[in-house]
Amino acid sequence: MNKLKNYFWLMALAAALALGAYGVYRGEAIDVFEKARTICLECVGIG
Amino acid sequence: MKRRPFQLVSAIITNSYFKGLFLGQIIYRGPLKYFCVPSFNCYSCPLAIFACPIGAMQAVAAGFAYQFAYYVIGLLAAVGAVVGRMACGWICPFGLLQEYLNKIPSPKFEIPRFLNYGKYVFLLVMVIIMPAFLVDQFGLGSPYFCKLVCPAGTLEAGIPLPLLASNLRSQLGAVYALKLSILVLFLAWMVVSHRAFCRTTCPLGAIYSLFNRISLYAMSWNATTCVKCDTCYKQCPMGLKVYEGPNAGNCIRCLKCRDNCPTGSIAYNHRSIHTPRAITE
Repeated sequence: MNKLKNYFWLMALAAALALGAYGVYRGEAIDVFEKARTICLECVGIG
Repeated sequence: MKRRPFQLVSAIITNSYFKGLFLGQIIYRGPLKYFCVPSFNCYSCPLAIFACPIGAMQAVAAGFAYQFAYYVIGLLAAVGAVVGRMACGWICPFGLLQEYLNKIPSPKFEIPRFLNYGKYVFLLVMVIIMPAFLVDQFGLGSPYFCKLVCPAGTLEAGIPLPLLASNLRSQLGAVYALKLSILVLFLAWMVVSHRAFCRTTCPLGAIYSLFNRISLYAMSWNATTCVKCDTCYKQCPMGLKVYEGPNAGNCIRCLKCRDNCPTGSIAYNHRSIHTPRAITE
């Protein structure tokens, strides 16, 4: 079990990459871009 | 490798849209904003060239289409799986600001341990749940952490943008006053307590902290040589004692403990070349 625990990071990394790829596949990166390229009024304290 | 130059270079790279100041563009609008920087940096800062991961998570959840940002969580989890919370200690501009503010001579105060859990509450409630489920009649939510709390947003966008754009100045009101007050409180707290925001409030730190115990690169501690002199505790910006757990969630891997340990009992290395677990934890 201890030896296996040393590789939890690898499982987490694989899961993370899969999640990220799924997010990009379904178009989340476009949402991120659309938000980030405009002034965030909430960040300023207006929205 | 020296940490301070690394932090400074990272902060400058993250905020390097100097061209915009000369072109009269208030913020950068180019393709780099598809990508989130793995640190806490407002994407509406006039100099920012990447997206803020916490703002991006909320923006995705608050939109029509999705309620959870797999893209952003995947990116952050990938960083966490490899280095744990090291990004907080080495590349976060807001962390760097806190370290500089804490150098101001003043009485210093410990942060009660229970406040460490605050960052998980902010992450869960204001970053994940509220933007996705507290929606208006059109199904649109709001980035509530950015809107009501984020002192980085106020500092990096809330102050410079109204100075640069007169149409924004005319819209400032009660929420702006609230955010400005929160910023002032945090700045004062950062002067008297080490990394107050990171320890109690930062949702990004909360995400990374979940990976400290399993990350590829991890702290290790040798129980047989440690004399529990508390040098690590006195050096640690997060108020941790390495002998109580070398990979605690709050450890930002700044490595001050390792560099100052008088017996050389602390190491930061790759899991596959770790000393046996009996010694490491």
